[in-house]
Amino acid sequence: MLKYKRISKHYGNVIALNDVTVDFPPGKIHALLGPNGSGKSTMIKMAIGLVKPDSGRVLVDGIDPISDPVKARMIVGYSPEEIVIYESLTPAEYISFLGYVYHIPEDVLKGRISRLIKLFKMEDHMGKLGGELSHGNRRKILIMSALIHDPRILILDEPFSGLDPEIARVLKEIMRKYVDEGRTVIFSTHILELAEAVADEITIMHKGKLVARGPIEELKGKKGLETYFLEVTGLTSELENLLKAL
Amino acid sequence: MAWKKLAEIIAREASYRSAKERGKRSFFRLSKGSMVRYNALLITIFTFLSVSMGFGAFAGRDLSIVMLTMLSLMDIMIGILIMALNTQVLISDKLLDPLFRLPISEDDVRKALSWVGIYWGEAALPFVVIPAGLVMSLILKDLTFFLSSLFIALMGLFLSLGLGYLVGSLASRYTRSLKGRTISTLVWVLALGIGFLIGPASSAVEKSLSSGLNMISWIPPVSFVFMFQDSVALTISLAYLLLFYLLLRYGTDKFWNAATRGEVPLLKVSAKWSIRYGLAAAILRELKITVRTPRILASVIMYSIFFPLSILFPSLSVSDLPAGFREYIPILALAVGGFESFSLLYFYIMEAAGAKSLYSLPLRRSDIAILKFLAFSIVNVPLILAVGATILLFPNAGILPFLIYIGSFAGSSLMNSLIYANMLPEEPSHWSSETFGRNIISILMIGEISFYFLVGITTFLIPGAMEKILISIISLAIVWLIDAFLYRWGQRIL
Repeated sequence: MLKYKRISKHYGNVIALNDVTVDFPPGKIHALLGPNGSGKSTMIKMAIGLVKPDSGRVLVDGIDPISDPVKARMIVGYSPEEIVIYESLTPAEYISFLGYVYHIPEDVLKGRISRLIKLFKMEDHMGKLGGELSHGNRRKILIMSALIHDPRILILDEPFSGLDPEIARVLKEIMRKYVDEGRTVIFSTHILELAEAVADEITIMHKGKLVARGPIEELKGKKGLETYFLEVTGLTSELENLLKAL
Repeated sequence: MAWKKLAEIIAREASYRSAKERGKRSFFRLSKGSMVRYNALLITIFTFLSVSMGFGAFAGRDLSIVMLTMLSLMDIMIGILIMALNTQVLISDKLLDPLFRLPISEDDVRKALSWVGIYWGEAALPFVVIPAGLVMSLILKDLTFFLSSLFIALMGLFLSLGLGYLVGSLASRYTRSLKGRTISTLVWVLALGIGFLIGPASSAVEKSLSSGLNMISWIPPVSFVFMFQDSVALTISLAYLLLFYLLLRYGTDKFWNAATRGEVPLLKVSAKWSIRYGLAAAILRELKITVRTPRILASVIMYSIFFPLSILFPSLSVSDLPAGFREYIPILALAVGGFESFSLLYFYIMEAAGAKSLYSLPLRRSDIAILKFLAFSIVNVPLILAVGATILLFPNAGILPFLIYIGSFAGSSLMNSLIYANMLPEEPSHWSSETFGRNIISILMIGEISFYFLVGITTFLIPGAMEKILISIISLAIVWLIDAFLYRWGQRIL
């Protein structure tokens, strides 16, 4: 369970999060939607103590990631939107390092790596330098890194970007398996169709505020998710003006 | 003239990326302002430096030759550094790729590529030596110095452009290719090592000239001064000039091939891989990044090995030792152990952009510091053994100075590692020397050197061998106490 209680965060004069209270219970895939700058990434980063709230409290399975970030990061798997990998290391070397960081026993690590390599079709790329990998393979390494310690809470920031349809499907199945095992899965995306296809619950952010939340079917209603999204974020009129310029 | 515009665009972009990669934000950046202004700025600085040193001619002909030697070494060092930094970025980041998709002729791109080094500041290089040669000629009323400086400038240009293009074509910034890595590391060691060589080389030239040794007049760059009066010097000088010209031709050809290959040039990449476990995996990660980043590896070699050895060996030269020198060995061992730790900074800088990924892991700052310390110690094992054996083999020194040396190396390396780890930014960021601030690093180094200097002074003031050992042990204890404090402070998350 991931809980945000009355969270606010400012970057100078910019309000990133404004009194946000929301729970992400286990057993469901949660999609976090919102336009650029809506506060999605700030929320995600708070779960691993990367960003400190100005006020309010975040709890990761009862652990405060600000006061005990090591413990929180041990149970959270996080894949950032920005692809950051070591260009001078092979994926095998980097994941070996993660095994040490997460204190994963040798035999367990061996099993997990071989399973993930198979799932993400990385057999031929584990010995290449990070700098030699394609965009899609780099994204796969980030996701594998988030999964390597078998986290109780999985947080993926734009995870489908750059993935081919086959691997995207594998990732969806992994996410489904995780929630079936009673874990929490949250992912952010700009693609509404993807949220619709993968998520059980949707949380929509806009200008640092939570503007809508609920099961996918409920939010979608009769108008469809796109129309609903544009309405609650107030982007409908802006879009109409843009379309006039066509 | 499209190629000139092209050269400027390529030069500007490579320079920007190179500076960004190293975390530089100084005014000394080609990407800001006009390229002519950038070169003009360099020319002004170099001319000022060169003319100032040219006035050394008032002290006579021999000192002029020494000054010209120093300037030519500086010229080569600056030239290689400028070129190597930029060419590696140009190849690694595939900066030419977008050009091949535009309606630009290959001939224009090739011309631009040959010209690009000049834009990076190589055009200013001749101004490191030529103004000095001119001033020397005017003062000594001997045209030889001016003519020599022209040839020396040409040699410096050929050598630095040639090596720069070669290193850029053989190895991208990160490579597993042993050949590319070795050559690239050697070029970096050469570029950085020239800085250490300037002093000793100049004094060697001075000594040779005063003792009337002919051999020195046959060694470049001194040979260029004697080439107008000695046929052997002339032959050798021209042979070197030809050799460096051929190197330049070879370098540009290799660079063109690499740049148009459309991919990062990696030779015989093995796809073999294996998984490591536990602490070994973490330390191997550090070592792999070090050896695959030639610029960092060269810096570690230079500052871990050459710098402390340049202090140690003159001090431990057995001949002409003053009476009672043996009493000071524990202090010397303490200081050398401490000086060896300065290059640990490079183990942080090498993380570069990858460092951002560490911020989401359950790592404390002290964890990072310990890993860096362990990897640094492993890299330094050959040096530790060499210095340790020297201390152990010193007549009647005993084992205590050896233990003090090991304790000092470990204590100060750990201390520096913990200081850097505690200084790391709170937000995920690219680690570079700018991350820590050059001034702060300098203050730290000065502080540590002052500490050992103070300890040394204290031992001079307090007589007795046992007292000197005691001072060494107390100093060592202070270092380890600081370590304990920093370790506690480093329990914060990265």
